[in-house]
Amino acid sequence: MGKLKHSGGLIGEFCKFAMENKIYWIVPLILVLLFVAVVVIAGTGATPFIYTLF
Amino acid sequence: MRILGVSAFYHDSAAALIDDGQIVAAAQEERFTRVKHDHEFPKNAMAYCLAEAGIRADQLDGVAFYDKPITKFHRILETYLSCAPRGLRSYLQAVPLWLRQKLWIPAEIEAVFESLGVSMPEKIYFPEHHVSHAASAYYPSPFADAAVLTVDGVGEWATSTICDADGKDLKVVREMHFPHSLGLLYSAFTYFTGFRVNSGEYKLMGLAPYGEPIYADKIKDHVIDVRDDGSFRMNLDLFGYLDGFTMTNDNFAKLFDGPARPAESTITRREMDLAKSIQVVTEEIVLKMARYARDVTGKKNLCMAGGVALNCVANGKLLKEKIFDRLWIQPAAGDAGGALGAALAAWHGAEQKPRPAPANGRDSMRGSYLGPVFSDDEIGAFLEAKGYPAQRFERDEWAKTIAKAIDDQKVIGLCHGRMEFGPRALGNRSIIGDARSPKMQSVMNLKIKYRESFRPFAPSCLKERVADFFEIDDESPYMLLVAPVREERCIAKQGDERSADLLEWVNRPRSDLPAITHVDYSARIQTVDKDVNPGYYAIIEAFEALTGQGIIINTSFNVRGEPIVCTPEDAYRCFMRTEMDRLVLGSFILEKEKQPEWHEKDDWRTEFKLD
Repeated sequence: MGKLKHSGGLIGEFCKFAMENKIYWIVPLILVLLFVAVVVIAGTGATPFIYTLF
Repeated sequence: MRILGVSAFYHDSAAALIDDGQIVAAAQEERFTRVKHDHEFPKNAMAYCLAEAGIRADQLDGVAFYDKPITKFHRILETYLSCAPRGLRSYLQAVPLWLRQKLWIPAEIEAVFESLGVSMPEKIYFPEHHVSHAASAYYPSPFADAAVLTVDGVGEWATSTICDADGKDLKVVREMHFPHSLGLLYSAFTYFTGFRVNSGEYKLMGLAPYGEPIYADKIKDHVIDVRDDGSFRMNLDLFGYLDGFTMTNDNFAKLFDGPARPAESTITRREMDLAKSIQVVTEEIVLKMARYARDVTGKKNLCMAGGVALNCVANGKLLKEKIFDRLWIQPAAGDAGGALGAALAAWHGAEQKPRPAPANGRDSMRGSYLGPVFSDDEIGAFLEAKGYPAQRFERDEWAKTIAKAIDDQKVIGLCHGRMEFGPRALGNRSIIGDARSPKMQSVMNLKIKYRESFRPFAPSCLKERVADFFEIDDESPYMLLVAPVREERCIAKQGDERSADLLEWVNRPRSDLPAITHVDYSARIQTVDKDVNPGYYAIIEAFEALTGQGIIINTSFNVRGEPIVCTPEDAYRCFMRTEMDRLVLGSFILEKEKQPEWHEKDDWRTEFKLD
């Protein structure tokens, strides 16, 4: 519920980020990647990475 | 205006509270959850900061998160794209975490506030990761203006920055970008030598004095290409962190004479030499970066933060080189300190509030004693409820009794005053002992800390006496500088030490302060200031009155893999699990032999994951 409430803001932030940095390719890419991630791994338990970069 | 800073989701989550720019409280989440390097959202640390300030959550004016999640996510996507189709498994593990948690910082913050029955503040700030580090280094520093150098693994894209800071203004003037990173390079060697990434880097630094830098040229010829300004490019054919699950790959192993050392296996000469080699290269790069920072900013003072700023050997070299007139390093230089930096960046940066000139040449970290404190009334009630026998002392007698116990070769757990913020115990959550004892290093390593024998202990000495013991004339209040033990105190080497057994090697006396003198005759120093920590100072002063030496051993109050103790209960548990002789809880002193027998259902040594 909390995430649903903030999802509009997050998408808006992404769009703003893409506009500011002129990386428009990131918008469709994110949609595809998110879709793949959700479909392929929904429900699987993923462990946190040990390295900061992820 | 009250701003709560938060760092989370990578390692060492923390919270810090500032009120009109003044630091009120700061603590790492691990101290409350008892999970070392806890990366979860720091609910407990946030609640502590509010309690310490005596305010409700709805009295906060803003929350500052220590990085920009969207920019970081962009970096991760771009990295995966550049590697694709390699790295798919890594992507499949990383992205769900982002989708579930890391992108939803406002929702995470709101959930904490809702659990406290209030709505979250309207203002949420997202300063960049390295700006948070730089703010944590500069704003609390004793300097009116300074160059700021931040060096760590990676934030959004930046892995190192040089900032120019003056008054309230903090401006990034140079950046080095991912994947080229001194923090990640050091972590790669940490992994390859068999220690845990984001945890074992200080062990690698402690191992370095045993080795010779025989791989240093190979590193510079084949692994990195370093420029005069300290920036460098890494040979990415040797590393696995872009698309895999390990820091280094088979090419790296071929270059360095075999595979990575398995964790907990025997440390060989190769690991010692690798440790020394990467340490030498790291120092060279840090010095070049510092020289360049001086050139581009023209400032006389340097502030540092980021995980690499915890490399106190490199810091000692930097001080010795006198590139800058003065050096100040944020004691919570790692990601925990990012919480404090985020709050300060929001106050001075986003809100444009002025920064008063530092007074009396002092920093505003209050000795980094920014965590929870327990009153004698609370401790007395705890001891009475549990039936643990203890004796209460007045300050003067308290210090003399502890000093006498140190002289009697007792090992003492010290839990008093406010807990330290940052990775170092600075006398309030410390285990202390006699630095003059030839056996103390071995006793404390194996019977108290249950850790590898090669690691040295650090000394705490009276600030005024530091030059009596070490080749340094500066203070080191946060144990972030390494300096040589004075030559007249040292015992000459006997033959080729490299042929000796590691345990025998480490235990060989090297000075009249053998327990704190490392194999290269250096020590990681903490100078204790009477005004900053009068209680701890009184103990060392009493020890000096008794023995003539104003110096003792100081190591963190924990066992291997355990976060440093926070509460009297944590301290008592650690005291009873180990072979410590005395426990100091506030004004109370407990003797081991008088305590009731200690029973535990399970083997406590399995409780903590080895770090």
